Amino acid sequence: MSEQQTLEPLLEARDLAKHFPLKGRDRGRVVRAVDGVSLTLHAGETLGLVGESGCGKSTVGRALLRLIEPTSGQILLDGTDITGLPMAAFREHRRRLQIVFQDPFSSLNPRHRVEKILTAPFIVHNTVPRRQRRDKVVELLQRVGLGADHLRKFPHEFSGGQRQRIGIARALALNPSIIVCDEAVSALDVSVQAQIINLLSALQRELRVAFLFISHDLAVVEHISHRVAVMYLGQIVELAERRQIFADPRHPYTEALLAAVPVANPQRPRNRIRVVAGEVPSPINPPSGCRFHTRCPLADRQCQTQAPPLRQDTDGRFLACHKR
Amino acid sequence: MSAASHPAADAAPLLRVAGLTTELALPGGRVRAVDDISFAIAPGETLGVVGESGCGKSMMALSLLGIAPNPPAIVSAGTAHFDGVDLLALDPAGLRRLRGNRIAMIFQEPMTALNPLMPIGAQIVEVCRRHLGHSRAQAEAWAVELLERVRIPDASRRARDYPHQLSGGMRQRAMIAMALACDPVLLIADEPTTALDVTIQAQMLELISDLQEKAGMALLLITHDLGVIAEMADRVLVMYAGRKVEEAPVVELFNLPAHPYTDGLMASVPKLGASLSGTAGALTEIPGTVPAPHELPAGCAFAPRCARADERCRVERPILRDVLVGHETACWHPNQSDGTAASARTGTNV
Repeated sequence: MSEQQTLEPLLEARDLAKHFPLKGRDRGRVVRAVDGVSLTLHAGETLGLVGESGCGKSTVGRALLRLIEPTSGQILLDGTDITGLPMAAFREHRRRLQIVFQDPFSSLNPRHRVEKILTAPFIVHNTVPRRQRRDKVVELLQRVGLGADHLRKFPHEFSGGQRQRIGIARALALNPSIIVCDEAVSALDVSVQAQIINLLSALQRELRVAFLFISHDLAVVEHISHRVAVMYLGQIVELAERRQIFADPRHPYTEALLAAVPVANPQRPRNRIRVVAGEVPSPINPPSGCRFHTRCPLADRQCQTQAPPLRQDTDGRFLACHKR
Repeated sequence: MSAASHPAADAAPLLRVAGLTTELALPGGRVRAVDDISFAIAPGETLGVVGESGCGKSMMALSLLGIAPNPPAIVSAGTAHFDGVDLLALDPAGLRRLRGNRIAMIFQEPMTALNPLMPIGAQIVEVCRRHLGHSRAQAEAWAVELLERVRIPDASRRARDYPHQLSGGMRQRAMIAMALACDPVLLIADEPTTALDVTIQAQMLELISDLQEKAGMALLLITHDLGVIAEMADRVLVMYAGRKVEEAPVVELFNLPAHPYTDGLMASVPKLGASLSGTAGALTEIPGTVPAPHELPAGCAFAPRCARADERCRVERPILRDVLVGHETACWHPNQSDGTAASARTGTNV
């Protein structure tokens, strides 16, 4: 990966934030769902984005595609700032950015046949002449391991794994350079999950597409990612090469996350000292200083008052911690 | 703890289930959601039940307690002896006396067990007064102690909270507190940590193990997560399409799985740390999908997805046979207990 690091990133987020205003009694306050996230994504790589529910990882994914408009910060696609672009101008870029959702059933129109679902991107972006569309759709289906015999079917006629294949085919329709996979395999049973993970890996090898792979499942993220970013309460606390994160986690939260994963090895000693106490605080009123200080075993006065910046360490990793 | 070293493993079972069969009456005809399941749990023991969605593991648990949704579910065969009483033959009043009392159950989604219109403390008080005959004052004191036991901070104040005022993790704790109100000897836990984040899941698993150790309670733990199984179970039962395909002590199941489905299940899950040992190649896939209950093949239910399947597998349903003492599987071509056929797995990232 080090070779790619030196190249211009394909996608870059700079200090991205998304604050959702509250209504009613809490009017005037905001949920700081994403609060200053910077990351890069290079051609053909997979960046894993992990964290617990409510940490803002899905919001990052959606903000990058401007499915929700970021409150502040910049998104650069191949060096062009796409945050301020009017929608008509953005559409040209939007082709290159696609997303696959967790639940393929709610993201596919139940009243449209597969052929119609997969033809829609061609029509919207007018990329494929009418007469060639059928062939292109069949090609897409084959690419994700389905066949022309599925063209006339409706989404409900497919299993969960097959529906996710259709979601992936739709994301591929416009030859994107980046696909955001938002918990794309989380709802699948393990035997089917393996099929989809292998499919994504194969597609990346063939098409050099980059993935932002958002997931709460650390083992899956380890399997598929080149680099990994760990989020806590709207911010990245650590971002590094896969090996650095999984062999030598440095942020206390990364450590806690990894230690909490149940390991499928019954002979491993069942010690429980690894359990981090407490729960994730509210993003409406996040803790002062380091947001993890309320649960961190290393926290001291500095951590309570000063927010640690995300700095780059000598080994290349990005880390936001006063103590490490 | 392995089953062999478990002090209670040789004791008389607390629960002995034999031939449990639950049918679903669907418009297209009757299908078997739970098909001839037998197992036993000793006092204090943890039996893990693992399988993918739709394999019948939850329906099995609900059937035992007489709370499988009817219609469409009908328990059509089997016995389940608990303390000398057959649960499946018990009348509704008899079951009510046991449920939430000597046998308790917790669920994935605590809101299925908690009443949204009642403070959590009051719900526990109700259980204690009904099953234990406590006075109100007694029950209220016990409720607060239970909430403290499951480590809800500031328990006496929190007892007055409604379920929606609690976080997901706290709600799960409240449900566990309610389940423990009558010191059950058997706790049935159906995906108790599946909806939780990993750090909260770790807290919850620790809590359940602690409570189990202190109270000597047996645990029937239903999950799809092999990591949770490895951390918690003494023995494991693997289900596929309503049937039991394998049962073994936990270490043996992970080291020497006998059934090709168990094999495949283990090989298809990415393992934390696998990239460090250079074993993170392509995941082993189980081809195809789980068959729907109304289109099960005549023979082995796994045959359409099994690389080892032959003519016999397709027509004749395999019976459960011992591969080792305490380790049985339903397969015509199981891995041998000395690992010979299992060596075919070398090269997958187990």
